[in-house]
Amino acid sequence: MERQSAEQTTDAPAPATALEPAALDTVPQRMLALQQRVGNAAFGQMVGRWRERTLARQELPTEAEIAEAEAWAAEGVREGKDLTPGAGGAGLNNASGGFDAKYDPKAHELTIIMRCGVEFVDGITKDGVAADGLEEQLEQIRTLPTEAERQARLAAFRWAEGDEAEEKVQFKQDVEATIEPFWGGQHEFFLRKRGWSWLGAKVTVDLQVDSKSKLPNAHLTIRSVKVPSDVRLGAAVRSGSPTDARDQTMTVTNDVTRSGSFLTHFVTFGVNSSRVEGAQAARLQRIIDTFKGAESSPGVADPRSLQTPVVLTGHASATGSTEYNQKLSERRAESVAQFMRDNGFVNVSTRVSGTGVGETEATGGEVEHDRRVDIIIGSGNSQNTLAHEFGHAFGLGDEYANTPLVSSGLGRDTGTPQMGDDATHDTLVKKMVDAGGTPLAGAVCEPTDSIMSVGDVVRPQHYATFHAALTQITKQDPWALGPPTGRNDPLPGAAAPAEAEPVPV
Amino acid sequence: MRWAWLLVIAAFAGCAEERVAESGVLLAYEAGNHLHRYGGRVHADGRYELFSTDDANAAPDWNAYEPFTAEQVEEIAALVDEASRAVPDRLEPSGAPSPDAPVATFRLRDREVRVVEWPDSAPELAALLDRIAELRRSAPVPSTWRVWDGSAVVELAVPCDMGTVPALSRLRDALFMEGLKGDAAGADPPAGTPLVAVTFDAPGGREELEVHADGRRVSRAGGKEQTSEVAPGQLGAIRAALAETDWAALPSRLC
Repeated sequence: MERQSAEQTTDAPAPATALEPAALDTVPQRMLALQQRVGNAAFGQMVGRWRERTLARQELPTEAEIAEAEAWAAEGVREGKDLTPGAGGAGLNNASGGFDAKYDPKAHELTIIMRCGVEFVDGITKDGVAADGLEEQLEQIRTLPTEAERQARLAAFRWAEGDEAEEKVQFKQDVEATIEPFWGGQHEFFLRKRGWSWLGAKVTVDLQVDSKSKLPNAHLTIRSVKVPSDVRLGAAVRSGSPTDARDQTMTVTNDVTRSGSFLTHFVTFGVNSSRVEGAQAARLQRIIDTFKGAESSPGVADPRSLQTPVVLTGHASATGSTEYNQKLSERRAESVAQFMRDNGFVNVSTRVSGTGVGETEATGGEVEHDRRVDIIIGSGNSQNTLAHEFGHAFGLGDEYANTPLVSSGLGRDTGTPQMGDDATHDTLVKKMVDAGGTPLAGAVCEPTDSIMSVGDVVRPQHYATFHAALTQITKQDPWALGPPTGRNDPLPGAAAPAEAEPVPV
Repeated sequence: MRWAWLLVIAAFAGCAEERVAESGVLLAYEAGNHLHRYGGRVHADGRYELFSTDDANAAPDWNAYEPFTAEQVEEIAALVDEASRAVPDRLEPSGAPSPDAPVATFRLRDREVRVVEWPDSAPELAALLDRIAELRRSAPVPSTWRVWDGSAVVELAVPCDMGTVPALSRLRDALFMEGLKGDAAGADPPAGTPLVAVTFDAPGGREELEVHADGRRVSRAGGKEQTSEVAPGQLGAIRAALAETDWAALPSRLC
């Protein structure tokens, strides 16, 4: 609509001008005259369109360039087997990844193919041995009053017999159904070369999950430990040799929906108070120190930091007037923002937004939890553990960091990244470019809502190993983020030439 | 002079005893990552405590379980000392640690050992915990199984842990595992005769469990009898498990 109105403005008869045509010898003079005729707003729109047209003419692909791309595309599908694009990454805990990749220029599709062989592991074996981390569960079972109860509880830690047992088949289907849409289709690429930019690459993830015995050439072994739904167990990926695409081992539980929550917090207040103090101040400080973002120097964000936004929602208890409680809840949110500003949270003014909802969500009476400010980091969503671990299997490292609320107390000497460390895929991310050709900043370790940190968002940087695989198998570069263009279109978002041509009037 | 030496020796011996008594812990370990943490400790007086949490930042909430016997404590102490001699203060993988790799901290008496990528990097310490797991094994609960094989009741003695008897695997799963389904036809036993009946000679006394062809599940323990209904799918799984084994061909004593 905006373009159409600009067009109409351009075609409209020009109003009378004070300047004579003969006097308009130079471009600036002609521009000034036009600006006076049509007004500032219309003039701005017109200039914008002229620039686009001029640049488009410069960047338009030639027939030869398009023909070259067509010939390349006609050669058909490109494939790569057993790729380990994450090998040799920076950082502490490397994940090399391991998968096949296929690019189909006709379908404009990059398919990441990973064969996953599942080992079904009993949390407590038939003869009563607990897997690591389940020792206490076994002791608790021993305290149950009857043998029938003990046996029933033990059975909850065992997979049913047989490769085709219903729960095993279900697990394999669930892994595919969870991971393929989560990791596929989040971003796409196009070949950012003049005449080639109509070649796109939508990303599809194709997991081939079966029992380990049926997939001897699996890229990934999934050790799925059976535990009942009320039992927690960690998850990890053992990367194996950096250049071996088939020796990764992922340990997870049988529950593909298992998740961890790190992004929702709150602090509470005294009655009729908006002061953050005492234990709540300490609590808020831990939140600040965890989510302030990586810094290149104190108070200055690392250029790679995502600077995850934070939303504050103030609440008040039901006692007192509605109007007063509304104001009080707003003051509480402001007070938390001010505390964050005063205590090291980076870029509060641009990252932190707040509001108050008064007593609208109060449970009644003078309840401490009603006197609070909710602090939501980024998406605020839980992280699906399996999805995070698959990021490692695709070759990405961790982006979280040792902070008060995540991996607390674990130093670099334990292999745990620290705030501001390079993520292992940092170097691969820096090789990626946006649609306009600008390189991405990289990937830094900091707790955020990203999938490789402690959240659930798949960002362009998380396609770094897919991008590397695409580059490797097509031997074409650069594949930029974004949808493909039309065949005769210029490259999107190209930078203006250093010396612009005169603008036609 | 001789007295002086004796005093010195006594003082050192006293110190060593005091150190154990002071800390009171022969072995303690904490392991995990930001998703799950767990740990255990064995006190010199035999107390055994464990914790497990998904709040990686919470202090361990130790729960006490049945203590070790004096003999077991003695064995654990020897194993702790042996492991302590065998491992350096820090154990790590040869290459870079894997993502989300569990980290463990062991305290072997008063010595701390850090393990990066637990348990792969510390087979000696893993073996120590394996031995403790062996020591924790309960005595097997002997059981007697009476199964309907379609024409008669077959009685099978299982004096060992039933989990070690492959022939019972499917039937055990069908009896105790939730959500199993199966489908098998077969002649039902006469009225009053269960499809399967298991008698446990449990430490707390004799227990009985019966599943009947009409879906009744009857359990008797501690002088109480409880009756519940087995879901149709599970009853089908029990029938299927019964049908797939030639029970009469098995030895009357399964282990």
